Amino acid sequence: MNKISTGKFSIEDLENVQITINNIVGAIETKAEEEGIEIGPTPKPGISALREWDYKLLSRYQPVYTPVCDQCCYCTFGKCDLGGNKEGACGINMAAHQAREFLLRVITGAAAHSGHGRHILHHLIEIHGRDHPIDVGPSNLLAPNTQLVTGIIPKTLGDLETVMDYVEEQLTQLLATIHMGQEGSALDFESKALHGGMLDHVGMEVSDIAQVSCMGMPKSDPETPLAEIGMGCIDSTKPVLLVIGHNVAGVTYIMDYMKEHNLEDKIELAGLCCTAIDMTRYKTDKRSQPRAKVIGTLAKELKMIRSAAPDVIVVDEQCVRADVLDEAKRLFIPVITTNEKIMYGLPNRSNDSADRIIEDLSSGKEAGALILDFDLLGEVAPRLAMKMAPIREAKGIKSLPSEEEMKTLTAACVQCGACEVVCPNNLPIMNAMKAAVEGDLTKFEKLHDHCIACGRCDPVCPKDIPILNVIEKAAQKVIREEKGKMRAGRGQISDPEIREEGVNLVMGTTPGIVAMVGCSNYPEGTKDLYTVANEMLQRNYIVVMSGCSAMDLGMYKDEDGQTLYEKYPAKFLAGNLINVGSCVSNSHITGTAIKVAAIFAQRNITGNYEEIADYIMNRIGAVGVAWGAYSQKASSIATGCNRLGIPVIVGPHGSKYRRALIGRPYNEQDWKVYDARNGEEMPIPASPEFLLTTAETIEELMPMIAKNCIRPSDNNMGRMIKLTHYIELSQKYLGHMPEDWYKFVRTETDLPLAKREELLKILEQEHGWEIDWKRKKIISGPIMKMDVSAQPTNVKRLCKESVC
Amino acid sequence: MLMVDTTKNTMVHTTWGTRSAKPVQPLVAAKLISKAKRPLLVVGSEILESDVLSKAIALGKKGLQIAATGHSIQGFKNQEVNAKYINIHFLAHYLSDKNWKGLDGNGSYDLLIFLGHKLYYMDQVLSGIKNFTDIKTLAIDRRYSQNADMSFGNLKPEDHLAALDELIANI
Amino acid sequence: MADEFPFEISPMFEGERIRKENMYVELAGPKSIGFELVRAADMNDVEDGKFTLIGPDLADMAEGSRYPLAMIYKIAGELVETDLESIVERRNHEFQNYIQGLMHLNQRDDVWLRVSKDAVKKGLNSFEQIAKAIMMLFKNELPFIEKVETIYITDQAEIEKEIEMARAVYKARDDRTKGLHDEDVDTFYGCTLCQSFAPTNVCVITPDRISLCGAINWFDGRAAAKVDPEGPQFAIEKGELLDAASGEYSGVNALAKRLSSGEYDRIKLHSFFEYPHTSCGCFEVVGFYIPEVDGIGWVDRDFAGTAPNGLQFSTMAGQTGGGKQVVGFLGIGVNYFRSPKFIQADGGWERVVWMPNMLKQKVVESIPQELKDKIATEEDVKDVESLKNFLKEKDHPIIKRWITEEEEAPAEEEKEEVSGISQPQLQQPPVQYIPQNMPSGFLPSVPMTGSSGSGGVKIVLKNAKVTVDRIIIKKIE
Repeated sequence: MNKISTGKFSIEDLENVQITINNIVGAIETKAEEEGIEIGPTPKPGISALREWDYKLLSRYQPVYTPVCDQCCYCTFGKCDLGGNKEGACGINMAAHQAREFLLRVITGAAAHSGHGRHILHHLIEIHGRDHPIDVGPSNLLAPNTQLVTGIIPKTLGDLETVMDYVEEQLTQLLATIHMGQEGSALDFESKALHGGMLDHVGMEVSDIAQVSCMGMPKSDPETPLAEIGMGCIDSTKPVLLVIGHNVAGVTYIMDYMKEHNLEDKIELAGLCCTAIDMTRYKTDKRSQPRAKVIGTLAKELKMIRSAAPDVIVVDEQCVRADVLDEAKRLFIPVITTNEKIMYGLPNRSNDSADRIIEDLSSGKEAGALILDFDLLGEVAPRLAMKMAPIREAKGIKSLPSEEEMKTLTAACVQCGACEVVCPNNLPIMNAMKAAVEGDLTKFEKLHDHCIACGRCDPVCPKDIPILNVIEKAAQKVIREEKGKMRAGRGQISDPEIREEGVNLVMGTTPGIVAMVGCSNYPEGTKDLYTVANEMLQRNYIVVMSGCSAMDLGMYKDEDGQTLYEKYPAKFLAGNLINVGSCVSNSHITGTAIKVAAIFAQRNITGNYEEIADYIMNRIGAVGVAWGAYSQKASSIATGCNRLGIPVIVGPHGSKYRRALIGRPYNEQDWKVYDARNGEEMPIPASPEFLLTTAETIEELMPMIAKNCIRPSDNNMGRMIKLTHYIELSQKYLGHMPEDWYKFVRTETDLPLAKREELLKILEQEHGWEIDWKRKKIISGPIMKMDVSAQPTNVKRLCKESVC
Repeated sequence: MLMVDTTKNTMVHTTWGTRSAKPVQPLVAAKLISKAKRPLLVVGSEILESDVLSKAIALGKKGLQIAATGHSIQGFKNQEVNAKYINIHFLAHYLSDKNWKGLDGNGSYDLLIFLGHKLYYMDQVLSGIKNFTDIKTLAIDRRYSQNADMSFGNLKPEDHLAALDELIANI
Repeated sequence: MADEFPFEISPMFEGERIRKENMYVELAGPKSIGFELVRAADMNDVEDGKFTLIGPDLADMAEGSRYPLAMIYKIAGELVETDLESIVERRNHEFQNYIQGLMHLNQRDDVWLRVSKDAVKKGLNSFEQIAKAIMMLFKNELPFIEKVETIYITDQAEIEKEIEMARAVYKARDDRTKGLHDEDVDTFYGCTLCQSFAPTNVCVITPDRISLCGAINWFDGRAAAKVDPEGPQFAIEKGELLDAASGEYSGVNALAKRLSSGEYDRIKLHSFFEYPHTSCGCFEVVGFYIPEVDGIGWVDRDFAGTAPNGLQFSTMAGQTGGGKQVVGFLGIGVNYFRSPKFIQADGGWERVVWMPNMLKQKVVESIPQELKDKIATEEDVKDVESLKNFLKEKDHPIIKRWITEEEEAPAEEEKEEVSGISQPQLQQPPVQYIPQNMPSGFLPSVPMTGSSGSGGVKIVLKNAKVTVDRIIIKKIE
């Protein structure tokens, strides 16, 4: 064999050659056929594909509108007063306009998550290539939301690109309907909102599984390390590098630079919001100590800046205050923006040299810079922090008043009440001022926890008291003690964990799953989360956390000095406490519900949304609680849960989302399903009672959670345990027996064990049920029969021998 | 009796639109309640933290049906008033249903009286009732509630209690 | 919260731990002696609700002290029998933990209890209060108990007298359980508890086959069926024995069709390949057929690695479950390994070729001595090739089947022998045994002879990336 010439060759034999083919044009179905996968009826659904399912949900859970404004100001015909459900100039009425407003919130949230997802995906593909495999842990179902909605079963990063294409196309279509003169029906706007919520969970899932696969984040790990959290953890004697936002992509470069240059002990790297959560996930899949600290939620943003502790602030995207630059300027803190979504009018220095940028920012020539190049960012931020710290130390920069100044400031208060009117929580600032004058700071300390640091109070004070600074200074002792622990986000729940928990779900040992997620706009401060989680964990509920809620939960300790994260293990098992991670990790919660359908009932989840949502609504006792929901993202997350039949409770501020979905338990026709075995109608208990509602206080919340974990297909062990907790929690927190407990009783074995006799007596005496006292059996009374083999479904076509 | 002027201060942070609650004096409020055929006192959890609870009980003893939202029902235990727990958002929903039989099974209500809720929450719920039902609403809390049909203005706590006393005395 | 007791009773206190500092008194446990025992008795021998205490009561015990404790319950009723004793006894542990301020650990003669200081402060001062609560809960949950009487003993000498009797009872029960087999009873028990999640799943529980979640054995099923014959656990008359080797019974088949809503109508209780017992999703172990060696491998839920066929637990587990009969995969509970009839129809342990080492250690006493070293683990082999060699080396009985199969190959239509026979189109992998959701890139070792197209098909490759490991270019002579 001397020379091989150019030309044609024929291949005689292929031994063990794999040819990987991506993107067969126009052929999800064909591809699936080849692999032997059955595709459901709605892969990549458009706006109208799941409309019938939406209508089923909306007929049982009617929209309840509580407008934030009586006026519509979309077009130049207006603004129009729609009060009393009038029509505006274009013919739209108040109800439809509120639905439209809600839709807008949902797709904004979905766009935030999906934009984040696309950005991260783009970034990771550039580094790792399209073939990089998706790795989320020991699961077969890697991307349940994606698979359920689109019918695509992604295996590599490249596969996720088509998923994002679909999400983005749908979001554009939905945004188009916000335009003037589109939909006129409130109900159809609601259907579109549900569509948007569904898309949100796909966008979130893509974001999280991409970053988990590529950034060394924990993969369904039940023993992730504990991260330090709280303003009190920050050692401000070191240079402090503060990061705010949700997109950790750029920040990882800072972390890597610090590690390579041995700066980890020299610089205090701390974060606010989900970026912080993801920083503590970065490269901790081998359970090493997280390489950043978490300060806390967005409620701490302004207070952290005003403390003057940060030497550099880096922001990326989402939930970042719009006045970061102004506030930072006053305290000589340079600001670096790193994402096109937040640029603050700063000059783009992405192609500049690190030295020049550092010089300009540290000399005060420029207040900040936009750096979109992550390598550059990674170098500039830490070097700048090291440089700024001594400079700012020398300048003696203080934002908060001194003790002396406090006396003057608090004494200046004339008790006019303007601040209280303007405060989103109407906090009792006047009383606190009065007490402080007398040297008692405890009222301010209490107020500080309830205060979300919005800063609305400052500009309205006729005496120019810098109220927020006064609150912060007064609470300084408390702030120094704000030290907690948070378990680093673990990502998905793995398939084997779900199987293991299966026994508990069936045996009733797990009364339900409570997902406490979302933002930090709580009605009564941060301790509420601890109280609820503690109570539910003692009762063996599975408690899942994410985002801001996950952070605040870690701030409280019991008598033994332990946070709940240290006290309870983190598997998907009864009585365990899980932190799935940042906001985008919320998709794993719905993902888990989808996995249950696939694993236990062997339902086909590929492109089969309606059937799986129907399964979840009838069988999985899960309730979402977004106690401090404040953002548009929270509304899209909740709505995505809703379309899957998972109910969500928000705190009282949540009434400002304008729209709830509430059922009428007194209307019997609304509470019927089919038995899939034969298509016959059967009554179901009124649970969940709602898909989205508000609750006023946690005392009201807890029994509500317990009741709304009840599902039609509960066997008697499950129903008995759920009823036990509903009754006990009502008695403990409302001081009474709930009025409707008996409606959930189908047979005597549904009755809580310890009280069985007592309850049988009540059933007989107060409700006229017939009891066989010898055998302690219920003979008549319940409207529902107990039949564990019944297969409740809302979808007629899933019934055998049915007329479709 | 010391007369409190409950209409002086109607300061708000933002508005909903052109409709705003008419500020009323306790006497007027009392007359309204007396004239109503099916009044319902809607009480929230905030009453448990102050002396307002005793006023709510007093109103209940005057025969007013009480819808106890949040966990305010705790305050009515063993008080011999007609109080029932209901979630305030559910209540708003049921009120818009002409077929709802009310908390006592005797039909819906023609006057809702609000006491003991966080202002923003009450205003939101009232926004729903204002726009989607014809039921008259009266807010007798210590802050001016824009979305009610009638409301007390912003009051200091002591003045608020005095106003309530006056109202109760005149029912 | 029943008002007659000075303590709350709720499942939420189940996990309550009472530490030394909060302990008023410790009872039984490793530093003392004690037992719990439930005995079936005649109706006339039981005085309903009676409580007898031999020895000091709680009020007589000093704070911080330790005492022995024996708890004996006598139960009577029309449906009560000795087989139900252990079922009721297990509830003593459960229910005593429901009591706030009382902690109960372990069982039988290992019991260990603590009473908290808080409970005593709230008014718990006599064992009678505890016993009365337990008797109430027993009767509430198990109405076949018509009469129940309790005797607690806190006197050391008295306990020492009784404990040997108790131990003899435990032993007799264990012997009965071990010695009880499918052939010895007429009734099996069905359980449909997980139909709330897996609508067509029914477990058939026999003396030789525990439920696959591990929670319900034949005795549990019997007790539950007595409590509520129309409930989720119910009796199945086994009927006629149709096949002893695979465990097929006419009574079981009759029920199968109805309860699975027609999904299947035969169940072979101890078979892997034919009409296997279905599973929901919570099985602890999945068995998978390895066609290359005609053997069965097992992988448990906790094993995070890959089996020799390149698949993980989750992938294979995804092929079975959901209450459907799937050939080639079988979900079971760990306890089924211990059954004397373990996949009897298919050769039992002789058919087992691979399992993870930790799982193997767990069930090692159930593996026949001569097979212990012949079953491979992940430490021995990593893929099918090395598995084949291992089995040959160790002379595993499975190799006998290889020879037999080659002889029989033409007669068996189910197993497609795939060899290097050149065919014009792409060989379809044998559908039965290959999992549906195979990770891309994994193909069975089927040699493909691709050549230029078949029957007028045009393939357009766009953006294709072909990675070739080695190209061998030979000059054609």
